[in-house]
Amino acid sequence: MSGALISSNWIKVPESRYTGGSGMEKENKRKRRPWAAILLVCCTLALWGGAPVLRDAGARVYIDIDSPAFQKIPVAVADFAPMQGNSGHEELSSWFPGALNKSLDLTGYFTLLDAHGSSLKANPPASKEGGVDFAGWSNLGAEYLISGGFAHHGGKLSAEFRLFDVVQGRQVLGKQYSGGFEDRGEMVLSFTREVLRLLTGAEGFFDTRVAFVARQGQSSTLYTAGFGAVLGAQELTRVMNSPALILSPRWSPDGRYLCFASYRDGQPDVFVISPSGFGLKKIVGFKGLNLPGAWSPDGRRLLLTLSKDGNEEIYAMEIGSGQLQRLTSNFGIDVSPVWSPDGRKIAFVSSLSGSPQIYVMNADGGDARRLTYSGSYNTSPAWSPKGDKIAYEGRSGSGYHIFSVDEDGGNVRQLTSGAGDHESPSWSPDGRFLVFTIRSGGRSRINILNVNTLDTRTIYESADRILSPAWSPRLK
Amino acid sequence: MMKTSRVLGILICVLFLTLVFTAGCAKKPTLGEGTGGAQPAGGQIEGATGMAAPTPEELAAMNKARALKEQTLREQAERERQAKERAEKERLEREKAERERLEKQRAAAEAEGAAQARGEGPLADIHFEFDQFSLNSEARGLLRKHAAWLSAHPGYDLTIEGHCDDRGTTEYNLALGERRAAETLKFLAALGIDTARMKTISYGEEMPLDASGTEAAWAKNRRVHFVVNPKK
Repeated sequence: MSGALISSNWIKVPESRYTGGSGMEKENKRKRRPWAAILLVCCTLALWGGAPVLRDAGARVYIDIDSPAFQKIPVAVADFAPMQGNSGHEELSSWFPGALNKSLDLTGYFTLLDAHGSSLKANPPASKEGGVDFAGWSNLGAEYLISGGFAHHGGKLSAEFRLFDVVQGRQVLGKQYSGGFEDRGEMVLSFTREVLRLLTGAEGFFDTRVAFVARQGQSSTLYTAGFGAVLGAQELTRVMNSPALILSPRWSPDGRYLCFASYRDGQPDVFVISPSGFGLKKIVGFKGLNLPGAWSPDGRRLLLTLSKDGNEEIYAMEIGSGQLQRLTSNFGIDVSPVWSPDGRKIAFVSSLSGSPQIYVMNADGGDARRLTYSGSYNTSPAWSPKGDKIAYEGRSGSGYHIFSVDEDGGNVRQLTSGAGDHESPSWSPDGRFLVFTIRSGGRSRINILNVNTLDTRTIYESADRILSPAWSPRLK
Repeated sequence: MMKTSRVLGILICVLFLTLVFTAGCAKKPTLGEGTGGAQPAGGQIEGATGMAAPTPEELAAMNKARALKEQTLREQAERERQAKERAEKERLEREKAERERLEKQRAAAEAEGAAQARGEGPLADIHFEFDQFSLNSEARGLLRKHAAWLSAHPGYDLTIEGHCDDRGTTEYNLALGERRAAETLKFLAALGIDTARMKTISYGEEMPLDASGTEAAWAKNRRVHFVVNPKK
């Protein structure tokens, strides 16, 4: 279990954190990855009350989060208790529950009950009077209860987290973490993942990032953002900035590269760069428009929109050899190509009918057919990693909204509502969430949307113009 | 900044040395009397050890000569100081004039750029309907005039920029802007303008002229903009 967690290093933190005097032990300091550092002492806690831990994942019945009948899971997070040896940072007793509420809420799967200041017993750690008032929590409406404790001493923080099944009256998950004080956000995210995995069988998105472009005038910055930002635990990572326009970042399927269009040489060309900002390289620069589409699922080919042959057409390029295969040939505008997850089909936008609509064709360019018939402006297709749906952006009334449609053109569903332009959908790796931008009132937001519950949460907001959020694959 | 402070530093040094010099001179009458003022402190001692004392007339003449010399030195220093001040003042004025000239130049360039951006360059912007790249009759009329201007000015190349309003999709609008520019190029070529003189670039919705988000603003933003450059 901890092996899987140690391998997750999606959080980018400045190097100095590991060399500065954080008070961590030497062995800890040498570790370059925060997960590894904080999970040095991460173990499953002994059971409270002697009941057995649910170990048998195979026998476990998960809550079906994909069912249309899914009901949000009511959870209460009790105030954390200072444990023996704690000195200072008393504010953590409300900080931990606050952060857990935020991270659980981000998923849209939980109803979070207000438990702050509750006098109901929630198993204060290291206390002989420990106990959980299951009846009391149940009366409050909770099906699950999270409680925990912390001890901060000399720059070191240890914390324990427990999840109780209130209905069955027993602990179902316990974790203990230790690390520096600054690692508390990662502890919360780690436990949130554990809770999500245990209750729903889903991996969530806490090991992913979102790439996007922030724009002031033409000056552009390419960033990636993780989900710890909502905990105040993590800064954005700046990949690169440029006085020239940057557009349309796209992740390679292994998460090791981003490609994007940049005007740094005076016209839109396609570049690649590593998410840490190294190895910038121009890979496509024909005369006219050069725009990246999606990488193929095997990472060997890149879809492109090029105008080099006189009009905007879709091409597939072998990345190794640079060899181009032209896939469309019509007088309309063809743009924004994406592969199906099995690599056998391509969805794209064409104005062949007189207005931009979503089309699907075979990977060799054959058998193109129109998918969307309602609305006069449907663009930005994104093929769900599950394969069953294509999300897109469509004009609806006065604004733009995110829709989804089945691969056969059926089941068109508007997923967003409210004021503002909702643009550029991109799927989470598990196909359960979409990320997109909302522009309204001079501000831009990046929101994520739970496609089943339709809950949306803002993960980033700015007065800069925010463009083209692209959800990463799972980052190792 | 650096330059000014260095000059000031030199000026202060010169003034200081002048002061020391004149102060030294001013003191001398009370010291080396009878030694012509060239010898310092020792004079009084020598005088005290029995050198012939000058007559009062000689003393008065010597004092007068010395005062005259001091006066001359002071005046010279003052003249030098004033010359320096004048030079410094002139330099500052020159710098100020240069700054003003550059500022004027910059403002002119900016105004020109803004005029270009407003479509007030030699070739006015042409406009498009929402999600359209076809040239309407007004656009065709303008393009005929532009073609005439280009024929009359063979020394200029043309960059044709396609733009869209800021509704809709970044990528689709980039393609749409490219198409608007391409249609424009095609029309100008049909009017006899050498395609080697023209190139297209699309900025999609990324460079709106008017970001106020009104119908009028969107209409203004759906444009092809022309940039003429002297041939290289």
